[in-house]
Order: sequence, then structure tokens, then C-alpha cells
Amino acid sequence: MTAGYLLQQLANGLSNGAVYAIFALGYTLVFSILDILNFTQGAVFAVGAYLTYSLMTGHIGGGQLHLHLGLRLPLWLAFTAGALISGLLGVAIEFLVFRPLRRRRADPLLALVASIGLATLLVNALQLIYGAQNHNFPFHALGSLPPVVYLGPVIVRSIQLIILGVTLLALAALWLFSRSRYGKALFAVAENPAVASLLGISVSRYIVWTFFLSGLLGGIAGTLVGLSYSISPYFGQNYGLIGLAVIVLGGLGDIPGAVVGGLVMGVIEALTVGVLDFYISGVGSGYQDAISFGILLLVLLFRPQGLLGRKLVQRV
Amino acid sequence: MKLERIALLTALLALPAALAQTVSSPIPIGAALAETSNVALLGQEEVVGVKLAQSYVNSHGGVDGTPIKVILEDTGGNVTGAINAFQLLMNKDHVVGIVGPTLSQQAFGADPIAVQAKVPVIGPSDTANGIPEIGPYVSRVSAPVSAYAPDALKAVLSFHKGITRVAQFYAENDAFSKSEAGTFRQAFKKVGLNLVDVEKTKTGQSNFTSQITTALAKHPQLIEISTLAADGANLVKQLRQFGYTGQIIGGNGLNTPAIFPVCQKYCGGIYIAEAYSPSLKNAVNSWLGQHYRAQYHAAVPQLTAQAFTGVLVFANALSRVAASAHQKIVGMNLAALRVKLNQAVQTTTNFVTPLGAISIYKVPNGGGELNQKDFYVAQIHMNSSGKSGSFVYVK
Amino acid sequence: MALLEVERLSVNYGAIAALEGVSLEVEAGELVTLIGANGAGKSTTLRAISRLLRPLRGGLRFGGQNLLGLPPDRVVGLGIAHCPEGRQVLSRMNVEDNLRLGAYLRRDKEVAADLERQYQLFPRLRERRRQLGGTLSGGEQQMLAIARALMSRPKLLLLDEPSLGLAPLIVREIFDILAELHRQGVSILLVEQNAQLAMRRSDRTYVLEAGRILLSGRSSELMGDPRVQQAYLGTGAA
Repeated sequence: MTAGYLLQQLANGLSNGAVYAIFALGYTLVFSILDILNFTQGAVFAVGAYLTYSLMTGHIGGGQLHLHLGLRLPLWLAFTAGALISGLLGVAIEFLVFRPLRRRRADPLLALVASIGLATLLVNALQLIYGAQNHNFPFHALGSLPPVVYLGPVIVRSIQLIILGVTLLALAALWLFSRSRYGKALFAVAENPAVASLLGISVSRYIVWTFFLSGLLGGIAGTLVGLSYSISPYFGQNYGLIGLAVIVLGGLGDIPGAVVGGLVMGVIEALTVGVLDFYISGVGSGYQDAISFGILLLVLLFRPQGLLGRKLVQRV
Repeated sequence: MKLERIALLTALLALPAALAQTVSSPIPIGAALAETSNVALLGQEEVVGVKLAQSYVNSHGGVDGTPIKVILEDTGGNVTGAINAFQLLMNKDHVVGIVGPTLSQQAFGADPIAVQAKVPVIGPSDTANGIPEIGPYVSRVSAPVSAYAPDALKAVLSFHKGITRVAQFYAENDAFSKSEAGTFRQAFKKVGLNLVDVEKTKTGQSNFTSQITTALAKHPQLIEISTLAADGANLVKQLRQFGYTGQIIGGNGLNTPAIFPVCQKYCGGIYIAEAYSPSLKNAVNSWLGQHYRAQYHAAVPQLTAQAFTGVLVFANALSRVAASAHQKIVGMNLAALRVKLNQAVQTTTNFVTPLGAISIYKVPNGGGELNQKDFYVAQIHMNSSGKSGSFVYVK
Repeated sequence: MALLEVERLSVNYGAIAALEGVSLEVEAGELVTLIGANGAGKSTTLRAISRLLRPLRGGLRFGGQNLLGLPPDRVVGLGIAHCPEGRQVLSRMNVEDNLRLGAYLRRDKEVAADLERQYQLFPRLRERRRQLGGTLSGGEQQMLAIARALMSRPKLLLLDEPSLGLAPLIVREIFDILAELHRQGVSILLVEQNAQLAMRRSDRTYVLEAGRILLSGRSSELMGDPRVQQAYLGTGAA
């Protein structure tokens, strides 16, 4: 096993981890504010990808429906519009599911189950419209960009580099936001909604914005991942479980933690395959999930606050 | 439990009806195929096959002068749908036999009902292990992978001399992919290949980079892929992007044009083992190719040919039943005919079909297994835009 | 017309009545105390005024404007700052961010000057300005909560139990500050367990018992009332 080989596996892990990270960001954002797991995130992710696909190719359907839109947008415009509509979908989910449940002071478990139900509904709607088959972005969606780039001895798929870049950009934007007056108000809402409202902060408006942002991130992530592979109605659900593991790894509700958790998860998976399979075929790839989730369990036992989690000092 | 009850009910309903029932004209042959749901992707190719078979048989004198009529019932994509379709065909349409269902999984659910009711079934595309073993009334015209994997492998090795190192990728959580991979591993051993790496994947997996890096570190010259279509196509794309220049042989999962939009130009060059070739030269295959092309302007897909063959086998068996009984099929007691028809299906010998000359033989404690002589290897050729391509037969 | 008018306010927690027909008023510039035993409904009254709770019935007006139907954040915008019981500072945020959030609704340029004013009023907070709210001592958290409420430049300050659990020296310090605010003309509605201290510093007092106003009047007069002395001041003839 050479250093170049390990470096390549590390790069594989980081690039796949970037996908986990960008998915987990939207997840953790809602959790950090509302302490609920919004399982519609995987569905919004898929919807975002299909929206961009349809706006770009001018084609809706493949399942029970065949429609041709009168327009075809360039990738960047379709991407932006797709992400914004995904954000609005996030808002709609807040109004349709989470807000009514909060009003009734429903158990958080109920919100979780409701979100799983809505996610299933959304995914089935996608299947009805587009069919179960895979759709693909046009091959030249990314223009003249080469499919892979060589960083020294290491090969990385260009789209994967873009995903890593966008993830870090999103993190930076969230960091800047967190330093602003609005960001601090949002943190106040997260920590104590009653106190926040006594400071004049409109809690419901901030929650709506949170859902918008998380839907926006979901749409961005879905399109990027769709560009990287191909899209099918269920492709977001594969990220649901791993995304959950990632935000636990990073510390529930910890926003930078979600990114670090995603990257770490990606690297663990890559090294599991890279090291174990190198010596005994099929062992690492066969037990990949067992090993990643085993590590997750250890983290939970020894660092329940997550990898980055700082212990909160709470005096009462 | 539920299945048993349905089977019992079916038997109770069907038995008296069939006892009283005689065969009507035109002779009804059932086709339980997936016309809706995502399985319809496969089912629609089979629907075309059984319809063409009806016009082929009827334009060639029917069964002893009596025309046949193919009656379609939709199975949808699941077991329940297949059971419903079977019941309608047996009890309402009074068919002599059924071609179907589309998937092995549906066959395991619905075939026992036909076995109970003593109605012969021919599986057009049920390739899993254990299909004829469901019961004495179940036969198939779809060869299991184990029948043609070694041949395909030998063909690839004859095109590319000097290949010794092979690696395998398979979806460990998909029953069909897993068993196909096992068959290929036996074939590797048989042809003397050195299996340097095995990488397991999961259905729905899209990123394979770490498995690819590991496999490529072992310097394989040939990679075998047993996964679902879209997963395999993503895998091929990433293999090529990571600089793999060796040969790729795909299992049944990759045997569909549905992979073209996913791996696009990277699909080019993949070898696929096939049970059918549109370019096989015999009278019935030429007829099929000509009539299919006239309607669809394309080469006949494997599933169309297999479904066509299913109906053909029934028609041929019916003729032999009529000949040995010195009696017309129409007017015979339906229940008695079904039993005789099943025996005739399972003694089909060197019958020339679009799949070549085939035989069906009875397996111990089960139904009829296919014995097919000709297998083929296709190679995917993509056009210059990378958007569409074709399966080109190389053997 | 009084600055704050509470008219026959009733609040229920589920089926249990917490307030039954409470009426009270706070005039501009007044310091009014609300005293009563534990569970009498003092905090409930404040929470209803700041709209954290929805009353069953009754009237609620501030500066002539009806508060019913407004969300809590709008009430803040009208000039009511509620400093809740239990020193609810934002524990994961530092002192200065806590204070700045107090001025969340303000867009004027005097926020920095007000911040400086709070630091003058509470020098301890200036020393701890970069410390997380959760790491402050109880007295410091109380100071932070009051200072944060003042950052909104309220016309009316609702103060809930500022002395709870604090050392006597700190309690005195806090009440000195309240007196200073009162002198500056801020209207204050104070809920306090330490009735003696609160009544001595306030203009008027309401005595709440089991969700109803039992007595009300000028604090100096009520302090002489034997019922008040016996029940709340512990000075009456035993």
C-alpha cells in the first residue's frame, strides 16, 4: 500500500464526505432551531434535483406525465430557480406539517413521523410524474469542465470538487450569517423561543426562514449530487440515514459539526474499503456500514456531544 | 397464509368451472405481464412479443387450422398484481396456459396458484434459480445466467488475448445480483482467470470511488459487474473517469438501454452476455425481426423474443396434443387439456424458435427447465454524441 | 388614561383558573408592585401582559392600544420590556451579544450609547462582556437580564422576582438601580416576594391572592394595613 494510494483513498473519502456534509447541513439547521428531525430533507433534496433537471431540459415527466415546458434554462439559472423553489417547498412543509403540530404542542416524535409520511408522499409524487427510472443531466451540463482533475498523484472528479467547494462556501455563509444581528437572533430563537420573543424577535418568522434555508440547501445539494451521478425519485432517501449518522457524529444541531461529521464519515468509509479490501477482498466493502456505524456508536459513548461539541456550561 | 388461502379459494372456484368448461375458439392463451408500474419497462417489450407471436402462429395455419388468441392481463409490478392476473386468466378467460409473469419474484408468488389449479405456465423472463422447482406446471424459456456466463466469458477472452486478472463488483443486498456474481465466480475458475479483487456494493449506491481505487490497485484486466442498471452505469462511468482502460463485462442488470443516459459515452465497449440475438439466422427469427422492425424501427429486444417464444412453445405443444389425440383442440375438456398441454410443453425437443433450437425437459419434482444451445455476447456501441447507443452482437 | 390598563383579566391553565378578573393600572412614570404568595398569579399577570399567555377574557391596553391579538414580539415594539423570572439570559451567547439582542428592534444610532449606559449602571457586566451568559453568577445574570430589557428603551418594564435567590447585598444593589430607573422616569411593574423591600420603593401596590386582586392602594398606606403586615410583611401582631 503506497502513500499515493492512501492519499487517493483520502481524497475519495473527502469528496464523498462533501456530499454527506452538504446534505447534513440542511438537516442540522432545522434541528438546531427546533430540536426536531425533519425527514423531508431527503425528499426535498430529490425534488430540488428534478426541478433543476426540468428547468434545464424543458421536460417534465417520464412516469404518468409527459409535458414539455416552453423554455430551457442554462444550468446556473435552472440551478438557482430549483434551489429557490426547494426553499419554498421547505416553507410549505413548515406551514403544512410542523407549525400545526407545534400549535397543538404535539410530541416531537409525532413531528418526526409526520415528516417521514410527507417525505414518502413527495417521493411517490416524483415517481408518479417522472417514473422510477433514472434521469440524467445533459452530459455537457458542466460545459467544458473535464470530468476529473489531477491534484498531484490524486484523481478527483471535478463535480466532487465543486460539491466540496459549495459545502465550504455554504458553511462560510452560515458563519457570516451567525455573526450578524439576524444570526444572533436566530440563535436566541434556538436557545429559548420565549425569551427571544420577549426581545422582540418574531420566532415564527425565523422558523420560516430556517425552513427556507434548509430547503434551499437541500435543493442545492440534490442538484449537485444529481449532476455527479444520476437522479431517481429515491436517491435522496439513501442519504437520509447516513445524514442522520453524520449530524450525530458532528453533534446534534452543531452546524460546523455537520460538515466535519460528513467529511469524517466519508473518510472512514473510504479507508474501511481502502485498507481492509486491499488485504482481503470484499471485507471492507461488505462491512462498510457495520464499521462506520460502529465508529459512530463509539463516538456516542465517549463524546456524546459530537466531535466538535463543546460542553455547555449551564448554571441554574 | 394469505397465499394459501387464495390458492385454496382459486382451486375451489376453478375446479368445477374447468370441469364443465371446454376449450373455445380461437384457442385462448393467457399472458400475465407487467403493463403498468416500473416493471412495465420490461413488461412492455414482452407484450409486443406475445402479440407478434399471435399473428405469427395464426398466419402460419394456427393450431391445426384453429387460430389462437392471446389474452393480456396486467400484473403491475408486484406479487399481488400477478396473482390477480393469474386468477382472471384461469377462471374468467379460461385460457389453456399462461405466459408470464415478468419477474422471478412475481413468479414465486403467483405460479403456485397455477400449480394448484393445474394450469401450465411458461416464464418468459424469470431467470432466478429455482423457478421450475416451484411445481410441475411451471416451465420457462428464459435461460438462467449460469447457462451462459461461462460462454460469454470465454468469448471476451478470445477477443482480448492475455487477460488473466479479473475483478468483480456486485450488489450484495440484491438477491439476483448476488447469485449472478456467484455464477460468474465459478465461471472465472472454470476458464482459469485469477480473481484479484471482489468489491461489494449496495443497491442505490452511487459513489464507488473508494471501491474503484482499491480494485484498480490490484491491476485487473477485466471487471465483471453484477448490479442493478443505474448503479452499474454509475460504476462504469466512475471506473472510466478514474482511468480504467481494461475490459468490462456486465451481468443481466446492465442488459438494458436504460443505462445509456447514465454512463453515456463511457458505456461504450461493455460486453453483455445475452440469451438472444436478433441476427440469428432462421426462418422464425427473420419473420420476427422483419415484423418488429416494421413497427418499431429497431432490433428485437431479448425480452420480446423470449415472450414470443413462450407463446410459440404453447402453440407447438397444442399441435402435438391434437395430433396424438387425433382430435381438434376446440371442444376438448379444458381441465384435461391443460394437463396434456403441460406434458407436451415439457417434452419440447429441438424446437426452432427465435432463441434457436430449444428443448424443455422436466426437472425432478418440478416443472420444465430450458435447454438452449445458442448464447450470445453483445458489446455496447455508443454513437458519437454519447446520448444513444446499441447492443452489437459479437458472438 | 393610564399607560397600562389591565381590565378584568382571566387566564386559565387547562381547566385551572390562574387569574380571575384581575384589573390593574400603571401610570406613566410609576413604580407599581404586585405582591402575593407563591402561585397567587403574579408571574401569570406579567406573562399575560407581554402576550406569552393568551387570556381567557378581559382587556389589555397599553398607551391606549389594544394588546390582545398581538404576538409577544410586537408588544416589545410598542415599548414593553419583560424581564422574566429565573434570569433567562441566553446562556450560549456572551454578555454583550445578550445586550445587543435587547436592542434587536431598534434601528437608531444610539444603541452603542445605551450599551455604554448599561455598563455604567452595571460595571460588573462590562468586566464580563465577553463571557458566555451561562457562566455568570446568579446576581450577574439578573443584572444582565435587567440591562438587556433596558436596551429596548422600554416605556414600561415588567420585572419578575429580581431578588429571587440573591445575596442581600446584591438585592440592595439591584433595588438601588431600580430606584435610579424610576427617577429617570421609566414605568415599572414589579413582581416581588420580598414585599417589604418592594413596597418601600414603590408608589403603589396590588396584593394578589389566588388569582384575584385582594387589596390595592398607595404602598405607604398599605404597609400600615394589618392584613398586609400579617400576611406579607411579617411585622403584624402575631
